[in-house]
Amino acid sequence: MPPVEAAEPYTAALPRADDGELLRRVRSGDRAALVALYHRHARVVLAQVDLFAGDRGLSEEILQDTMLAVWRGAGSFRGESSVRSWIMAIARRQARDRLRRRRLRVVDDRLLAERPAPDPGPEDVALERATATAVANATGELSPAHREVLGLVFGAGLSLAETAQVLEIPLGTVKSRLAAARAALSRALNEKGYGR
Amino acid sequence: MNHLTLEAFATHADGTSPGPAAEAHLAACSVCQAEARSWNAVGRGVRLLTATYEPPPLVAAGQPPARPPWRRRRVALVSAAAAVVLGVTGYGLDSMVGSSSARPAAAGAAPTSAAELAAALTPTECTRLGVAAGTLESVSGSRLVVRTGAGKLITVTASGSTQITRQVVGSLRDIKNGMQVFVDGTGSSSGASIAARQVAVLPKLANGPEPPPRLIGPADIGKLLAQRGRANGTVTDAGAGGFTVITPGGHRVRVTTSSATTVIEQANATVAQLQNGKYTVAVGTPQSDGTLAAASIQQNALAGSAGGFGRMAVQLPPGHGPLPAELPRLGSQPPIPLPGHSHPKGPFAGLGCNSGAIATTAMLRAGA
Repeated sequence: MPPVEAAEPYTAALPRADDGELLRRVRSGDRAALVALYHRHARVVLAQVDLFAGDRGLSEEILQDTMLAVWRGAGSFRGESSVRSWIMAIARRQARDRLRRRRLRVVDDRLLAERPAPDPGPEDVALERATATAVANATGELSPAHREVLGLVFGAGLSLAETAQVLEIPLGTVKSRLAAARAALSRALNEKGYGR
Repeated sequence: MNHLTLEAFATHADGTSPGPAAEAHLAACSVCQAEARSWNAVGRGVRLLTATYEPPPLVAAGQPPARPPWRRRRVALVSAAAAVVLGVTGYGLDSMVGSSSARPAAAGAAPTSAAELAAALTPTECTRLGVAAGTLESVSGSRLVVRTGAGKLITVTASGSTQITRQVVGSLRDIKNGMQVFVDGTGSSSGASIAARQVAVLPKLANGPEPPPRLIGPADIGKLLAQRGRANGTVTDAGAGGFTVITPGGHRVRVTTSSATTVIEQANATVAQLQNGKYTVAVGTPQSDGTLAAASIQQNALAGSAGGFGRMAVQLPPGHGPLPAELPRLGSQPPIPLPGHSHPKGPFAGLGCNSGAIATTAMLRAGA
C-alpha cells in the first residue's frame, strides 16, 4: 500500500481528467484516480445516501462500500450514463441492500402520493418566502423518496432521465414525484408560517 | 413557445441557462416565472443541505479484503486510518490539522499533572486559561479527549457553566450592522468589492488581523486581500443584496451576496452534540490531575463543507498567522516584500480572560 503522501502529488495532477478518464484509470488499478473520483463525488453521494437512509453513520459506511464497488466494478461502466449517475445508482443499491439487511422499512414507491403539483397558491408563496436554510431544514423532514428525488436532481445535478435510471422508475414518475415533493415541501413551509 | 419543461426549470434552478428560447419565454411568461422562483427556492435549499455534508476519509485497500476494514464502526476506522488510508485530505479536517499519518507515534501520552498539561497547551495572556485545539477523539459523559496538532491527548471536562458552541449554517438575514464577519469570495480587481461565497459571523472579540507591517499601509492590506476575495471586519450598510465591510485598517469593501452565498454562524450546543473527528477548541484551566476544566468549547462542525471557520482559516489573510516573506504576486505586479515582523503579544492579545473570544480566535487560526 503506497503511503498517503505518495498519492497526493499524483492526484493533484488528475483534476483535469474527466470522470470517464478517471474511471478508465481506476479500471487499470490506479488508486489515485479512485481518490480523485472520491474527492469529486463523495459529498453529493454521501448527502444523497443520507437523504435516503437517514442515518449518518450508516450512510458513511454505504459511501465507502460504494467506492469499493466502483473500484471493483469500474470495468462494467458502459458509458451509457454519466459517471456520477452510475455511482449514484451503485450507492442506491448499496443503501437498499444495507437497509434490507437491517430490516428497516423502506418506503414503498406505490404508497407515495404521486399527485401533480397544484396551481400556484399560498403554499408556493411559502416556498418563495422561505430562506434557503428553512427549505433545507424542511427538505430533511420529507419522506425518503421525496428527499431522494430532490437530492438527485438539485443536489447531485442529474438530469431527469439520469434520475429515472438511478431510481429505476419511468421518467414520468420522476416528474410527478418531483412535483409531489415540491408540494410537500411547500406544505411543510406553510405550516411553519412562511405562507402568511 | 410552450411553457418551460420541468427539466428546464431544474436546469435553471441549478444556475445554468436552459437555452436562449427558454430564457426568452421565461422573461415574458409570468406563469413560468412563478414556477422558476418556486423551483429555484427548492434548488437553493437542497444544495444548501447537500453542502453541509463532509465525507469521511476514503479508505480502500489495493487488494480489497474479504471484509473491508471500513465495515467496522467509524470511530475505530478513523483512528486506524493511517495504516490503510489510500488517500485522504481534500476534505476539511485533515487539511486543517494535518494527516493522521503525520502524528508523532509517541506523542499520544496524556498529561498527568497540571504542569504537564500546561506545557501541552497554548498559553493566553490570561494566566489561568490555556488552549487545547485539535481533533475530538472521544466523548464520554462530560469528558472529552482532544488530540492536539502535536499529537498530545488532552482530557477536557465540561461543566454546567461551560460555554459550548458549534458552527451551523445561518441566513443572510442574520447579518446586521455592527457584526464582525469574515468574507470569502471573488474580489474585484480594484479591491472595492467582493462577490461572497461564504460569510462567517464572528463574535465581536475574536481577534482580527495582526498589526500591519510598516512598509504597507493598513488600508492597502485590506485592499490587497479584497482583491483576493477576502475581507475581515465590521458590517455596515447591511441590506438586500449585500453589505459593506470596514476592515481594521479602514478599507471599505462592498460585499454582494446571492442565494448561493453561505452564512456560517455559531450555535449553542451540548457535549452530546459534539462529533468525534471534528476540529475542536477547548479553553480552560489546568487541573492538578492533568485535565483541562473547560470554560469554552467550540467545534467546527462544518469543516470541509461549503462553510466552516476551519476551512476559511486555511485561507485566512496573513495577519491571522505568521506573515510570509512576501505577499503573493497580483497579476503583473511584482511580489511585495514584507519586512520582518513578529507579534509581540501572541495570538490572543487583547482578549484577556474572555474564553469565548479566545476559543473563536483559536478556531480562526487553525491551519494558519
